[in-house]
Amino acid sequence: MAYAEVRGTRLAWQQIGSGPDLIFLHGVAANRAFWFPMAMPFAAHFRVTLFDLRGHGYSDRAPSGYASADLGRDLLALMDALEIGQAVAVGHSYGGGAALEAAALAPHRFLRLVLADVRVQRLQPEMRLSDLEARSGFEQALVDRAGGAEALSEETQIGFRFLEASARLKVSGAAPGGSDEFIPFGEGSGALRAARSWLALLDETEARREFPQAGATAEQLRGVDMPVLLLYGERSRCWPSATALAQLLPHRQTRSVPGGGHFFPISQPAFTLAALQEFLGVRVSP
Amino acid sequence: MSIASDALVQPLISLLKDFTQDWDHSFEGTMTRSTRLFADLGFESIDIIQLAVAIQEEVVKRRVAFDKLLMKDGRYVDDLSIGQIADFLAE
Repeated sequence: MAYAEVRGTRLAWQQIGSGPDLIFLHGVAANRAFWFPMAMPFAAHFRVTLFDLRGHGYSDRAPSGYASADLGRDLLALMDALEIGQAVAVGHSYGGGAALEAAALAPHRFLRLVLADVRVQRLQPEMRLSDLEARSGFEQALVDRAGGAEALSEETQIGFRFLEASARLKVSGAAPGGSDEFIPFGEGSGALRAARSWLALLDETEARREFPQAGATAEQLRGVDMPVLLLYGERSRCWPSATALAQLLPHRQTRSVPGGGHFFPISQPAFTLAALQEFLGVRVSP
Repeated sequence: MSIASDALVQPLISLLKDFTQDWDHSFEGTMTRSTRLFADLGFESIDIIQLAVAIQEEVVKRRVAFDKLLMKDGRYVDDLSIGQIADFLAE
């Protein structure tokens, strides 16, 4: 099996295709299956690397090291282990945060960066229920179960809270009710083991405490000087991060995914594929 | 369902037994050509990707264009049987 020893833990990775290096990073509570369908067509032009973040998928659940800056160091160390000198990195959500941190630490190692709906803790430290303009039916069902909006009014990391609530429901076997374009752990017959794994990460490691830790400073982010695509869902709650990044990154372009929410790579795959192709300057057949 | 495909079924079953042995709800029955990964063995999407890597390294010893088996119209297939994987590898 393809595993790499990286900074004291073991990461599961795989590569497909040949050419310049293109690395995909998934967000928290997901795994490399998140990007697999989108990544495959690019194997005709790139050597595509997919891997599971520490504590996710088939990678080991390390006791700590889950701040975005830590995961950024994991990415750089994995690149060392796989002898990838420079790469294009595409990261969704927290995985994009990791890619951004890696790029801030070692800008010369990234040819291009795609940040897909990334919330940057440094620039957008809180996300409260009251910040959400509209809740999906699924989110409303989670709020109702938590005892209503009042019970969640002090929560500063509502996105993580929703992911945890979704996993606990999945493991308990209860049907959450409500609908959404993408329901975490809701794929097919359900990702029950992924839900259990996410809860174990929150309950048994430092991840819960480390996830909200800020990484690179605004000054360091100004040094991320490669072309960056800020790709955000039209209905995303992460726009404050995109707006702040747009003011810091010297070579960035911003695109909104029409109708897209946070999980637009899954819900709007055609638009996402087209945006990636354009930014990477290739034509692929899905 | 060629002879080449039939010859792959047992190696795949051996691999799948190893692959799923630590899972909470292990499959109680006997795996056959018609055993399905998602419905019968409790696979999740990450597992078929990891299985694909294992098949390349341990069964066929070559790179395989698994996306053609795992994906349909840009999305994951609903399920796969052991026989479907064997047929695909034997093509």
